[in-house]
Amino acid sequence: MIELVDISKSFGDVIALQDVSLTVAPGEFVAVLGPSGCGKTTLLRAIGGYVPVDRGSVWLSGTDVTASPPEARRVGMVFQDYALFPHMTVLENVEFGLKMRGEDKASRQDKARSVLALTGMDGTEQRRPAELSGGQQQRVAVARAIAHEPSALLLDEPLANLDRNIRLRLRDELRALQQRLKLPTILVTHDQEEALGIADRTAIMNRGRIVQIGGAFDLTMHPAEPFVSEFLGLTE
Amino acid sequence: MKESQSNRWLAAPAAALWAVGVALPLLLVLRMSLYFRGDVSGPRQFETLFFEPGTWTLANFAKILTEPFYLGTLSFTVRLALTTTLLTLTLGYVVAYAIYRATPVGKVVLIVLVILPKFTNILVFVYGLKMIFGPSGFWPVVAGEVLMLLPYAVLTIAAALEAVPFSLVEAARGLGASASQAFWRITFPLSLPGTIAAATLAILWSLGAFLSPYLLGQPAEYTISVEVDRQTNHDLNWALAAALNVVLLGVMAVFGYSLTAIRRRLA
Repeated sequence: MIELVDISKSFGDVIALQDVSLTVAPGEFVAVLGPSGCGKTTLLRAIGGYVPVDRGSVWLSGTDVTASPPEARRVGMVFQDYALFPHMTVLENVEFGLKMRGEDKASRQDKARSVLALTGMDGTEQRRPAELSGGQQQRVAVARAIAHEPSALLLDEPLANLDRNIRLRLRDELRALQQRLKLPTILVTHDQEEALGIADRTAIMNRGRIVQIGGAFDLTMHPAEPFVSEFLGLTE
Repeated sequence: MKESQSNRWLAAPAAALWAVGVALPLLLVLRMSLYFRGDVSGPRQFETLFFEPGTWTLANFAKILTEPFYLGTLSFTVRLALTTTLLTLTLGYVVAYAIYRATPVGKVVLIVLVILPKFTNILVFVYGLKMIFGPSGFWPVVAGEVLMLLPYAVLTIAAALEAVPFSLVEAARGLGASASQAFWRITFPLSLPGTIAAATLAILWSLGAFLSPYLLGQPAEYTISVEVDRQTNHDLNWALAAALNVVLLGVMAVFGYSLTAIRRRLA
């Protein structure tokens, strides 16, 4: 479970997050949708521990992690540029989290292999990230994010750099995988089709605030503010 | 085919410059190193002042490789170069890392501070150091060399670090690596080829160290380059000076080749 309680964050004069509260239940998939600069990436980075919040608290699986560094939070994060380690093989990338946890070589390689199989990337263990296509890199990044059995999955525009065909397929795969692992998941995107097509609930963000959160039906039928309907393209 | 040939001709001016400016002088030095020493005071002193024309000998090399004085100078030169390189890399990496992690404005400020000393005339720079360090000796020489080389090392390593996206470090942290684990497992290995390039530059440069040892050192700190100057301008033994040069070039080639080979293997 991911719980954000009234978190705020400013960078100088720029308010990135303003009293944002959000709860993502175990197994729930929440998309955070908004224009660029709305604070959605800061939100994700605050959960991951990369951005310290000014006010408010962050809870993961019932533990207050507000003051914890990223390595103590055990979240699985997929970065927009995938951030695969270029000097390591696919297998070394995926087993990295388990290695940092001190697991022995045989068991972490077993786990890494099974996660790669789960994401359809078995057979590429000894390849380097640079030898893979964008879609394959994305799958490896997802495999790496879930291999260390995280308490939450955070996805930062994971499909933005992919062709449309692959994007749609990976979106469905991601959703199926998330359902199977029952991980509370937050996906950040500026693509409303992606958000509404994958998530149980979608949070619309604007200027550091969550303007409205709900299912696709709620948002389209009962927009809370003109901004929601404008952003979803519902007004003429 | 035609295009590749015309492209080849584009390299001609550079090749000509290299031939006249690098290859030819080196060949002349090589030839010079194989003469007998000239007769400075005999009846033919004006024809044979610097070397004995028309002769061939390996005596100069034998002298360098057997006499304790030259072997000592050679080993000191290598020791100085290794010390200088090690310190330059360590300090250079720290400063480069500070640049890597700085804000965009901070980066500019730091880079300007790093290259600012290069706007000073080198003699003024070294005499300034002389005033700071006072009595000459090994460590003032090392300090002079390190400070001369630091900007090149910093810029080379900073360029290597800038090519490592910080998201890689964040990804490692998210996977449970502490800040230092992330540095040693991600940042450092990925910046290593650039660091070795900086090492190559530093060691080749410091093997040829002249100004710092000459101006900040005692005779105990004189390097091969200082000895080459002495043989060329004071003892007028050009053949020996050339041979010293060739030996130094050989040492440089060994270091340069090995470091380049290591870098290639890593990259």
